[in-house]
This record gives sequence, C-alpha cells and structure tokens, in this order.
Amino acid sequence: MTAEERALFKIRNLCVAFDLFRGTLPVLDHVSLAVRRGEKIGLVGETGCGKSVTMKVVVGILPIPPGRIASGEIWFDGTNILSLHGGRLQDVRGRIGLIPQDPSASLNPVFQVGTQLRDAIRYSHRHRNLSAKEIRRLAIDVLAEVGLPDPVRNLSNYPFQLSGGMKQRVLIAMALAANPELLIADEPTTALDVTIQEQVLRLMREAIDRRNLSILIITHNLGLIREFTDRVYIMYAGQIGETGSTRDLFNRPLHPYTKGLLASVPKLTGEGVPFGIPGTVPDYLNAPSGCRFSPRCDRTTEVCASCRPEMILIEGEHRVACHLYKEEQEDDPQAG
Amino acid sequence: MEFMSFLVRRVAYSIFVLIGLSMLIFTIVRVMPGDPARLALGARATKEAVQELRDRMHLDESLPVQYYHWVKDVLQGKLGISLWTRREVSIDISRFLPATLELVLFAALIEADVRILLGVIGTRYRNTWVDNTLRVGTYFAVATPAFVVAIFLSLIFGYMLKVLPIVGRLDPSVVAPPVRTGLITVDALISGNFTAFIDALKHIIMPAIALSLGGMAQDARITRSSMSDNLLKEYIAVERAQGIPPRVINLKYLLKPSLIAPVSVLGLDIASMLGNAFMVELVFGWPGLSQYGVEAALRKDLNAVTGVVLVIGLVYLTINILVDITVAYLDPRVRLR
Ligand SMILES: Nc1ncnc2c1ncn2[C@@H]1O[C@H](COP(=O)(O)OP(=O)(O)OP(=O)(O)O)[C@@H](O)[C@H]1O
Ligand code: SF4
Ligand SMILES: [Mg+2]
Repeated sequence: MTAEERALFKIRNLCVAFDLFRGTLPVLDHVSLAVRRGEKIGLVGETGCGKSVTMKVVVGILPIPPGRIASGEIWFDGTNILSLHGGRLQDVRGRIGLIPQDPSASLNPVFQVGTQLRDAIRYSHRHRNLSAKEIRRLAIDVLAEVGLPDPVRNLSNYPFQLSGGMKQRVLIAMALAANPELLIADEPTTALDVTIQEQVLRLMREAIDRRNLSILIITHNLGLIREFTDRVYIMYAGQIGETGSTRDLFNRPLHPYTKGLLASVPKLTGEGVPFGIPGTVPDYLNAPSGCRFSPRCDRTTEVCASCRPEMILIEGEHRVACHLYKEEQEDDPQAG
Repeated sequence: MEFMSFLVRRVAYSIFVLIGLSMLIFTIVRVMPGDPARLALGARATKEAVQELRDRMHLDESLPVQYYHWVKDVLQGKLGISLWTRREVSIDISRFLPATLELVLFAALIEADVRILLGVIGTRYRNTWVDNTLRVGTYFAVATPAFVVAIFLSLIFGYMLKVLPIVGRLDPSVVAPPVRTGLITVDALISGNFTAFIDALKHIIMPAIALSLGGMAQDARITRSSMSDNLLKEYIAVERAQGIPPRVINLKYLLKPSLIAPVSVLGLDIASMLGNAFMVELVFGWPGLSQYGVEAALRKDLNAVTGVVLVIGLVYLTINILVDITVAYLDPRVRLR
C-alpha cells in the first residue's frame, strides 16, 4: 500500500491559480502529497515556489480572489475538505492546526494573549459549551505545556511584551489548544534567533510525540528537514519534483533539482547557503507547460518543456517526476 | 505608569498652550483699529464717559500691565465685563457654551457611528459598486462646506417637507427642563421630560448632521482604508485558521486595531467643528458660543472675545486629551510602553 492510500491527510492534484490584472498565474500545478498518522513530513522548495499557498489552501486562508482553486482534492480522514461548507468544514479545519511563520506578525497587537487564546479554545471546542472557567483552565494548561513561564501572568500580557520565542510558544499553544490531529508549520523557526530555533523545534517535537500528532513542516532549511522529518516532498515552481524517505532523498537524490539543492549545502554542517542552482524560479505567467525546472535543468531534453513528467515510483516510497526516469517493475516490489 | 507621566506632560503642555493663546488673542484684540470704549458707549456718549470707561479697563496702560490686570482677574474666575451685553463674560459664556457643546457632541457622536458603519460597509464590499459609490459620495461630502449642507437640509426637511423645526433648540410651546448641564437633551432626560427630549432631538438633528458631514466623510475613508489594510494582516489570517468565526474577527479582532487611526484624527475633526459651528449656528438660529464670539469680535468686545477664544481653546485641548486617552485604551503599545 502506498503512503497516499493510508494517509490521514492527502492533497491530490491540487491546482491553484491567481487571477491578476497582468494575467493568470497558475502557481500550484497538480500538487499531491500525503501525511500518515504520526508522520513528520517536510515540504521543501525555494522562495516563491508555492509552499505557503499550499498551506493557505489547506487551512482555508487563501485570499479568493485573486486566488482560485482550479482543481484538486484535499482529503482529511476520509472527507474531501474542498467539498465541505459551514459548520462541517469548521469541524474538520479544527483538526488541523497552523503554526505560522512570523510570530511577531501573527498575534493581534491590541489584544491580550489570553483573549485570543480563549477565543481559539472557545470556538474550536464550541460543541462542548465550555464555561469561562474551564476555558481559562485549558488556556493555562496549554501555555504550561509549551513551556511558557508564568502562564497566568502571560495571559494578560500583550504580544509586544513577549519575546519572539515566547510569541511562537503562544502560537503553538493556540494551535494545540484545539486538540488538532495534524499540524501545519510554515517556516516555524525562520524568524527566530538560532538558539531559540532549537528550543522551539524541541518543544514541537515533544508536543507531537506526546499527543501523537502528524506534522507537515514547510521550510527551506535542509538541516531542519534532515533532523526533523521522516519523509520529504521537494517542490519546484508549484510542482512536486521528488518525494521519499528523508534518508533516501539525502542519500540518493534523483531529480536534477534535488541534486542541485543538496549539492549546494555544505556537507558537514548540514546548513548554509541554500539553493546555489543558477537561475531563478520562472515567472508563473510564462511557466513552461511541461517540467517547470526545464529552463534551469542541465539534463533537459526535448520533451521536458512541453510534457509534464508524471510522478513515478522508483523504490519503496521514493518517487520522482522527471523524464530521465522510467517506471521499472522490478524496482517496485510493493506496487499494486 | 508610563502613561500617567505621558498624561501629566500632555496637561502641562496644554496649560502652556493656553497661556500662549491668551497672550496672543489679548494682544490681537487690542491692536485692532477702533476704540472699544467708544464702540461700546455709542457715538453720542461724552468724551468724559468714554475716558472713564477706558480708565476702568486700563486701556491707556502698556500691554504687559493690562495683561497683568487681566490675569489677576482670570485667576479669580472673572473674565471681565462684556462691553456689549454688560454682563460678566463668564456668565454669558456659561449661557451660550452648552448649546455649542451639545451641538458638537451630537455631531461627533453621529460622525463616530456613521463613519465606523461606512468604513465597515466599505471594507465588507471593498472594490464593488457599493464601495465605489461610498467613495464618490464621500468626496462630495468632504468638498461641500458645512453651511451649504445646513442650508440644503433646512430647505428640504424644514421648508419643503416640514418634518423638522428650522430654528432654535426647543419649541416655545414645550416646557423647558430645569437647567442642570445646559445640554437640553441631557437635562430633559434627567428630569424625565420626554416631550422636551424628543423636541430637542428634532431641533439638533439637522445642525448636527450638517456639522458632522465633512469630517465624517473623510474619516469613513480613513476607517475603510485602515480596516482594509488590517484585513490583509497575518494575524487576521491566523485567527481565521484558528477557527474564530468571521463575525467575531470582523467586529472584534479587526475593528479595534482599525479604530486607532480614525480616533487619532477625531481631535482635529472637533477643532474644525468648533470653527464650522458658527455658520451652522447662524443658519439654524442656534444660540451658541460661536455666534456670541463673532458678534463680540465685530463689536470689538475685548473681554468677550478673549474669553470665548480661551474657552474654545480649553475645550479643544480637553478633547484632545480625551482622544489621547481613548487611543491609549485602544492601543496597549501606547499605554504600556
Ligand atoms: N495573494 C497573492 N496574490 C498574487 N499572487 C500570489 C499571492 N500569494 C502568492 N502568490 C504567488 O504565488 C507564488 C508562491 O507564493 P508562496 O507564498 O506560496 O511562496 P513560498 O513557497 O511560501 O515562498 P517563501 O519561501 O518565500 O515563503 C508567489 O511567487 C506569487 O507569485
Ligand atoms: S523533466 Fe527534464 S527538465 Fe525536468 S528535471 Fe527532468 S530532465 Fe530536467
Ligand atoms: Mg512562504
């Protein structure tokens, strides 16, 4: 059975476009990915490739217009979110928690931390009709769980009175407070100091293990991916180029883009200048109809620019979308 | 605590402004051509009588000495005698000021509510025909002087439709409530006199709308753009993702930060209302302080003019301090930092 079939959460052939004055940008092009229960999944790609757009569609904050979901499905625990409305949609969304990128911009500056946290709890548990006292209790507990010192006092602090790391803890608490099953973290540590990054990552890992959560973590930090995730999806200009277990991907990258990505990382540190591949992400307005990496690829062939490579299975969970590879039955013991 | 010291500084600053203002207006009314004593007593008064009045008012002394006498009186709560009404200026002011305050208060209330409403509607339907109509409408409203609006309103609702009274604060047939605050609507409520309350409302509605329209239109734009900007903020997206319903986000998490900018300019609006009040008071025969002040200026009524300017300055500064307190309430970064 493949990752997709047993998944708690999966995106299938998602196409998202932006209708702008200068034309339509077909940003996401047949994006598919899956997260199983308890899995830590990474989504990697350079800036502008559509990682945050993917996140926004999933948590329901894509600005429409200019955004438009052209086609695709998003399945969560057996239901297609994109076909739901109103209360049922809100119920499913409540099971997906968001950890945003920039903690300083993600908390409302004119409300106390506790106000927003209590509202997040009240509405995500709205079927339980919690009393104000119970909500407050839950708020304090979850702030304590994320290691925020003096939770009671911090409830009445304003965001500007907290450090960046504390704000991120509060946001993680807000996500956890809804009792989600899946977390989506969009660059959860990029805006933080290096020392704080470590703490926040540890905190997230602990919460995930304790609560047996799944996580989709979006980043361009390959060191973080290597350390944190079980499986990875590599995205280039709105297309998924390659996916596989983190170990396979780092040991045996197949897609020319993945190879370039890994080659640009200094080997010992696992950190450093990402994306040393010559060129830039193509303008979506004039994106090739085939493989979008073709203008920058050193192995490009004639079919590449005009024909979109299908995702094919190489081995185990290792899949690649590139015309250099052909599906081979004997490499695919689990197929069928 | 930081905020307390901020407030103390604001009050101290206001006192300095008042002192400066009093010196300025004191000098201006005295260097204007014309003999106030002669104007007050009329052409047929004797030279001796005029001279006697000039002596009583220290008019032949140097400006600093005159100012010294005036300040000595003001510190005892006396603004001097009006040369026109022959009453204590402070008594005149306490008679006319409440009418103007009531007018400006109602105008400010109407303005604050309507502009939030228009701002919310403009944001909710941004970039649709609703928003565009509001935009064009507000340009007209900003560009039309208050007294023109006043004349139009009284022509339409007063003369043609005859649904609203055209002059005054209260119909002569209505028993006036006993004076407590001087604001007839408030006094009527205090004494439980609903007939008077309704009648006073009918009288004040047109002048208040005329007075508020320009500032309202402008601030509706500010509210609208402030809300639309904040709508794109990361924290609003995060709140949505957290499952907080749109209604709660719009009326709580979006509205509060979006009110900071428009409330900050409210002080300026009220300043311009105090200025515009004269024409509106004239059109609606509203017995307010602006009318009294202009009359006093024309008659070169030294004490009355100085007193009126000072009181309006005081009102303006007080309102600005209130605005600062409101902004501090809305924005903890101002209050706690
Ligand atoms: N609101 C929007 N309006 C128009 N175009 C948009 C909008 N949001 C995203 N896009 C388009 O989608 C592309 C991908 O944006 P996205 O934010 O998903 O990138 P990202 O992969 O998250 O990059 P980063 O690593 O910098 O966060 C952008 O380059 C832009 O062309
Ligand atoms: S499909 Fe062609 S252009 Fe795209 S990565 Fe493979 S070889 Fe390069
Ligand atoms: Mg992003």
